[in-house]
Order: sequence, then C-alpha cells, then structure tokens
Amino acid sequence: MGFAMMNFPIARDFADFNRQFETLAVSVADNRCHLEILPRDAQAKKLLEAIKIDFETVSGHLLSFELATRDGSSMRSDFTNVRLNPEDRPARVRLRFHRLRDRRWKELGFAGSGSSSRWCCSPARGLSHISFNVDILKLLPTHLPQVKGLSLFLKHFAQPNELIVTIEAATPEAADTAADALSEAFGKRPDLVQRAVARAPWEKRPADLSELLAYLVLNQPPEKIRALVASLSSDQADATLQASVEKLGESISPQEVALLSYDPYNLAGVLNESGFLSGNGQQSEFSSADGTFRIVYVVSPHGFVNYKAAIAWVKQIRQLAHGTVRDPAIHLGFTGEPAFVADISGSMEWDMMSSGFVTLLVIALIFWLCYRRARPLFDLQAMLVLIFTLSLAAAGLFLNQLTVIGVGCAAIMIGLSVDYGYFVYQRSISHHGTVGELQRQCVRNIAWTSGTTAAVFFALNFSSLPGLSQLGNLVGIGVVIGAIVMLTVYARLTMRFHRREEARPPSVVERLFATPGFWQKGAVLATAIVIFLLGALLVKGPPPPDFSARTLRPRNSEAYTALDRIYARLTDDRDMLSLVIAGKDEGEALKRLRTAEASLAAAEAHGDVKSFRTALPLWPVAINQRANLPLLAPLAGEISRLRERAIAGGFKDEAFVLDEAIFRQWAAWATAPTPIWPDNETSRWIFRRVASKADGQFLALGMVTPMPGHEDELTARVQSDGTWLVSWNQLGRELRHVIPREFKHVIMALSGIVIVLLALAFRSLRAVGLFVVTTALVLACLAGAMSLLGMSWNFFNLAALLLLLGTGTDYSILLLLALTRNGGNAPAAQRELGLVICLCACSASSGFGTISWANHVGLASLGQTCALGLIIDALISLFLLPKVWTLIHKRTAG
Amino acid sequence: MRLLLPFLCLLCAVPVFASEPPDLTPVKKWLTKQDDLHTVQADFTQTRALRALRSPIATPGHIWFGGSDTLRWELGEPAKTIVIRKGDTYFLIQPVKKESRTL
Repeated sequence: MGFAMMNFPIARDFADFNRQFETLAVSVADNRCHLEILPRDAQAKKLLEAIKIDFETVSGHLLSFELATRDGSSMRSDFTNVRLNPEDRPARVRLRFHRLRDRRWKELGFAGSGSSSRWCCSPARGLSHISFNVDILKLLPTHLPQVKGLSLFLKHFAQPNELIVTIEAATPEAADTAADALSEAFGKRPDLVQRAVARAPWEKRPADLSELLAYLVLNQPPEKIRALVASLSSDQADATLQASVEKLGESISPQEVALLSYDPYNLAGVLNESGFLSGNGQQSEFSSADGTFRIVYVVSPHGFVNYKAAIAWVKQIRQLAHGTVRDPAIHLGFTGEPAFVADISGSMEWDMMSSGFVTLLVIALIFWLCYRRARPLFDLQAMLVLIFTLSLAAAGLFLNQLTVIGVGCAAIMIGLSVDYGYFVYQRSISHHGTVGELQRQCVRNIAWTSGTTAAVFFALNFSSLPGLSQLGNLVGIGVVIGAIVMLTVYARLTMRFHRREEARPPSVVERLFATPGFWQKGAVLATAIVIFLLGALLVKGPPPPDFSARTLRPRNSEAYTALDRIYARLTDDRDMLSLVIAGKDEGEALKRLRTAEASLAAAEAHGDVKSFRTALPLWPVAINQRANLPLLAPLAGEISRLRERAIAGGFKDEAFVLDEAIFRQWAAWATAPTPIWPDNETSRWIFRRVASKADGQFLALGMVTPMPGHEDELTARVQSDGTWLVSWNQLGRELRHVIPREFKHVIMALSGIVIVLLALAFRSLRAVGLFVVTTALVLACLAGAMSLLGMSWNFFNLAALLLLLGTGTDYSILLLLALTRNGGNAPAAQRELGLVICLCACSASSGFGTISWANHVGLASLGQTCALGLIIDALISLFLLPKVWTLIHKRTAG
Repeated sequence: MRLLLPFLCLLCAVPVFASEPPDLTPVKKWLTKQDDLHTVQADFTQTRALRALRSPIATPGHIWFGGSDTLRWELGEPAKTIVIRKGDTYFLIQPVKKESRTL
C-alpha cells in the first residue's frame, strides 16, 4: 500500500519537498533519521495524521515508510536488503503490458459518491424549467422519443425543490469552511430550508449504510446467497474470517479495506461483481478532487405554488448565503431547478413586460410623427392595452401556462392589432359620414386581412408542435379581438375626435407620402435592396440550420453559469446519454433494465459505447428477495456465535457492528412484502437520482458514454417500448430531422389556406399569382439578409416564417385590394394606403424588434427574423408590387 | 497519493499537532543523495495495524524503483498483489484471480 505516493525520489529537490509536504518532526539518532511529514493536499490531511519515514543518514537508504491515519490505523513497510543502482535491473519491471488482460475499471463505489456525481450532474441537471411555463419540451412534439424520454427524466429526477449552491474558493480549507458555515446557517432556518446537505449522509452516519448493504445482498441470486450462508456456518466461519484477514493484508483497494474492516464475514463480497465496491478517489457530488469547489444541496420545506414563489425563495436563500459567506474571494453560485425557474421565469416576465411597453412607446412615437394628434394616439394606446388584456383573458380560458413562445406573442399581438387601428384612423381622416359608414368602409379590408391572419395562426393547431399551437391560438385570438375592438370602439372614438377637432394641414410625413418622387426613389431603392439580398443569397447560400441546445437556453442566466461551473469542476456529462426506463411496476422496469443492459453490453462490444452504468444493480429483484429472505433472516439468531468467532478470528468487537446491523435488517424484513426498497435517509439520497416510483410509474436511470458519432445508431439499438436513450444534444439531432419536415408541411398547408382565402377575396388569378410571387421574393430576400448577418435557422425563427406568412402578407393583400378598388391606379393605391402600410410595418417590426433583446436566445432570434422579414415585406409590397401590377396590366391592355 | 486517500473514508479525525520548525538539514542531504540514485530494489515487510483488528497483519513483499516513473511492487510470498507503474499509469495484477486492470 502507499505505492501511489512512493515516488522515487520522494521529491525532485528540497523546494519540491516543501511544496508537497509540511514537516512535522525530524530527529536523528545512531545514523538514522526519523522524518514525519504531512502532505499539504487538504483531502490527504483529512485522512492522514502523518507519513513517517526512516532512512540512514550516511547511505540514504530508506529503512521504513509508514502511513499513519487519523483513526489510529497505520500501514508500515520496513525495508531490508536495499540495493541502490543494482546492475541487474529486473526484467520484470519492463513487464509486457500488452499481455495483461485489462478489465474495465468500474468507477465508483456503492457508497455512491462518484456515481451520484454523475447522476447529480447529469444532463438531467442541467435543464427542466418551470411553470411560466419555461419547459422547452412543452413546445416540442410529444410523439418524439427524445421529448418523451427527457420529459420523464425531468419529471422524475429533476428535484424541483432542490437548489444547488456552488462554492468556489482559492483553497480547499476556505471552501470547506464556507460549505460548513452555509450548511449551519441553512440548518437554523427550518422555515426556509428543510435540509441542507454539504456532505454525503453516510459520512455522518456510516451505520446507515447497513440498510443499503443488506438490501443489495438480498437482491443477489439465491445460489450466491446459499454460498454466503454456508460460509457463515459453524464449520466454515473461521475460514471465512481468515480469508478476510488475508484480504485486509493484501488488498490495495481502499474501499475494500475500509469495508472489510467492518465486515469480517465479507457479506458485501457477493456484490463485488456488480461493480459497487470500486471507487474513484475524492471527487464526489459534493466536492471537486482538489477540494476548492464545493456543493451544498438545499431543499425547500415545501413545493412552489408558482414561479413567483420560486423566485422569492431563491432570493431569500441567496441573501442568507451571501450574508453568511462574506469573503469576496469565495464565489457562490446558485443552480438547480428552483434557480432555473427563478432565472428563466423572471427573464420571461421582464421580456414580456419590456417588449410590450417598448412596442407601445414606439407605436406612440410613430403615430405622433405621422399625425401629430394626441387624443387619437391615447385612444389607440388604450385600445391596444384593452386588446392585450382581453386576448390574454380569452386565452386563459383554455391555457393554464404561457410558454416562452407565448411570451413573445404579447408584443406580436400589439404590433398586429395596431394595424387595424392605423387603417381605421387613416380612413377616418377623409371620412365625413357616419360612424356606421366608416365601419362599413373599413370592414372589408380589416375582415380580409385579420381573417387571413387569424386563419393562418389558428391553422397552427394542425401542427404537432404544442408551442406553435399555443402561439397560433394566442395570436389568432388577439387578431380577432383586435379587429373587433378597432372596428367597433376605435372607429367611434376617431370619428368623435374628428367632429370636435378642426381639420389640420397634413404633416410632413403625410405630405412626403403624397409626393410621386418619393415613390419613384423608393422603388429604385427597394429594387437595389432586393437585388443585393438575392445576390447575398446566391453567394453565401441559405442560412444554416442550428437545432443545438444553445437556442433553447437563456442568454444570461446565473443558474446556467453555475451549472457550467459544475460541468467544469465536477463532471461534464453533456456528451453522455441518459438511459430512462419506465415500467408500470418493478417487474416490468426490471425486465426492461435487463434488456437495455444486454443491448448496451452488445453495443460496447461493437464499439458504439465507451462505458455505461445502469440502475440494474440497485433495482429490486422481487424473486431473489423472496428466495433469499428465508435464508438470511434466521442469521439474526446466530449473532452471538458469529460475534464470538469474529473476535476469536482477530477482529475487535466494534468490527462486527456493521455485519450485526445487516443481520438485524434482514430479520426486520422477514415479513415485509416484496419487492423491498431501502428507505433510510442515506438510501433515499443515493436512490433519488437513480430510481423513482411515483404516480403509479416506476423509473430507472442509467448513464451511457457513447463513442462520438455513434449516438444515432446506439439510440436506435437501445430505444424500445418504455426505454429511452436521451440527451439534449440528441434532442437537437432529432429536431434537426423532424422540425424542418414538420415546418415544411405546416407552411405548405398554411400557404394553401391563404391562397384559397385570397382567391375568394380577389376573385383574380393574376392577383393571387402576384401575391405568391411577392411572398416568395420576400422569403428569398429574408434568407439572403439572414445569411449576410450570419444568422441560422432554429426551431424558433422557423416559427417566424409562419408569423410572416400570417402578418407580412397583410401588406400585399391591402395593396392588392386598394389596386382593385382604384381600378389598377398604382399611385392612387399607394397614396391611399402607403402611409398606413408603412405605419403597420414599422409598428409590427418594432413589436418583433423589441423581443430581439429577449434573454431567451431562440425567442430573440424569432424577433430578429420577423422584424427583418416584415421590413422586407413592406418594402416589396409598397414599392415594387404596384409597379409590377401596372406593368402586367399595361401589357395585358396592349 | 490520491489513490490512498479514500482508504480511510469511514474514519474520524483528530487535530494535527503543531510543533516548532524542525531542522531540515538531514532531509536536504537525503534528497541531494537521492539525485545519484537511478534504481532501487528492496525487500520489505508490510505491517498493517487496522483499527478493526486486534493485532497487526504482517506481509512480506518486494519493490523495484526503476527511475522516476517505473515501479514494481509485490505483496505476498508468492506475490498475491502486484502493482506496476509505467509513467502515470498504474496496473494492478492479481495472479490468484488471473486478473489485471488499470488503476
């Protein structure tokens, strides 16, 4: 033992020695120096009391090397027959390694420290969001295996009430002190914290492990248990104890020595093959290997009613933590479910409020610039607030939660509804009749534009994407309500205003739009822009797709930053796949676990998997438990004999404590119904990220490290009924295949609906054709602009295409209707609607533009794409469409 | 070093005693002498005094240091546990079980 630190020489030089060790004592007597040192490594200091070295002062020969531990144990090597620089270097040192049969070193022990760090840092950690609702999976098609599997994973293993506090300090001592201080401070606030865990529960109460050990042995095949029981019989007990003593003298496995010291009958020996009794050092779910990064798990005493409750709780915990750890050199981070809820919901709330407010402000500015009228402006703003409130109230009848896309709709609804207000106001300026007449004049245009828009958005219900359906319903409702409010209420208010107010001369903007030169120059500019964007599309190609998890997360989130630190300092499992297995009972889940284990073993042999670990060794095996209990339970009656033999075999009385507790546990389970689950605090802590039983469902988890590039094959091989192999990256890959196809179908269906509606409205094939060409040109230019700006397609801005189809098309529809109304007179149509369309485009694009700075990356890209698309649409519809119309009609006339 | 640390994972701690800065001249000399050493061979007797056992366990062994990154460590007579270091990699060989693995 101790070979790992027996470097030769022990240090390169004295400086290196001082860097590594603290010298406790040096004494010289009879040409013999006795040196006592202690490693400076904090983790080593916790366990070691001293390293004692004896050497000859003249020859420098090493005489002895001893590791003295803090529990009073020691391991000493006394050297004899020392030969320095012997000429006969043993050939055996240059061992032929390739002959060795290398077995996979199963990491991590039953004590669960390392394995739980994987469970804990699992991708799982990372991402289940809340009930604003920020759960991105709520936006995605539920029939996708990745979505199903991840949803189950998040539902059962995401620990919604558990906040993870990270501590980063310069030294392990500082991190340790901070973790203990936090744990103590949280412990004093039972109103705020149900439990704060800074160390593995079994460190405080090692005896608690007896339940888990008893359970694991109980799960083993009966033939193993029969052999175990035989090894405890009167005639074999002494040999069993002797074998344990020999093992204690030879083993180099720290876990084995530690466990065997308290398990003289080697009851845990039957678990060896299941890979429980191996370990990976000090790294755990609580601390990095160097001890400078620590984690405290803080559990709320109650569930959170809504996101505001989560925000408030996280804020209180944060304040308490910062009040406790005041050292500026120690950095605290907060992550886990409640932190994600607080971060994302808070930013969603802010995004919705700020984008709505800014949109209203921009609309007010635009209106004022164009018309210079305060009263209609205030009325318009009041109408928008009314529409927004009514829409949300109506949506609330059938929607419990707003998704992240729904949040973006707030600004969109305002941006769209204001269009109808502008139209009504513009028409009211030159209207001298009654309110009813004005309404009749406006209804056709507004009905067609709002009708097509609402139809398009409601048709999103045909999509299998729940997020799009919600967006469609929200905007559809908003548009219908907007049209009704503007026609009924705002028309009345504008007419009342015009009757009271005297006519004013047109504003600068109105005069500008009435100038033919403006339209000429605008057409030239629009043509140049279109040519430029099409050229960019040709040169740079269409924007690339990006369905990675990046677009599904917020831009700035402390919870994500802290999670990234966990990835960096503890375990980065982002490339791992989570094996999620569900069953209606333990038996079904076990069957599926075994199948998955076999598939993974085959995949490992095939080279698709680097390593894997499933919950199989922890899963209850009812049939084994039923067969083993009659064999194991009676052992409690033999405790006295077994204790006596253990003492006679060289063990101290205290060494029998663990085995005794195990015997008693089996006796306690003798009459319990099977399958039996372990239930004490330590067991629950270990099982919480591995197995779950809730809502009549039994779930087991596993972690798989695939060979890079083999993920798809592996997923296809392992995934089956009730078994999923999932990760956020894998979800991205699946979306990359599914979403474009889904959008293609939805866009084609929506285009069909719009064309049919327009055919009814225009009753002209030529007008419909012109509309189709205009829309195609808009989309091509948008793709060019996106390529030029380095943007990519993702799930969110693909939805922007649908929005464009519903909103941007209004401009061409309005203009085509005006052209029809004015007998094909393009300048007249432009004069009539130019300003309105320009106002609409500015308002809607400002509505979308305001969500460009949303914290959510995907939502922001939706806003940018829509704003860009609407501006392009307005340019083409206003300046080029009338020209083309005139050209076509001249040719026809000719 | 780190492989050794979890060894005592169930055990509790007592404070480390402090002392006056000792005279480290013999240590300096010893470390300087080690510069001249390239390989070392030795027999040893390992004595494990474990808290759970009433008496220590003594096991004979043999060790070869073949430079700063080569080690062969055998415990038992005949060897029941062999550890070989090659660079930063440690291999564990258990002849009785006919097994080897990387540590």
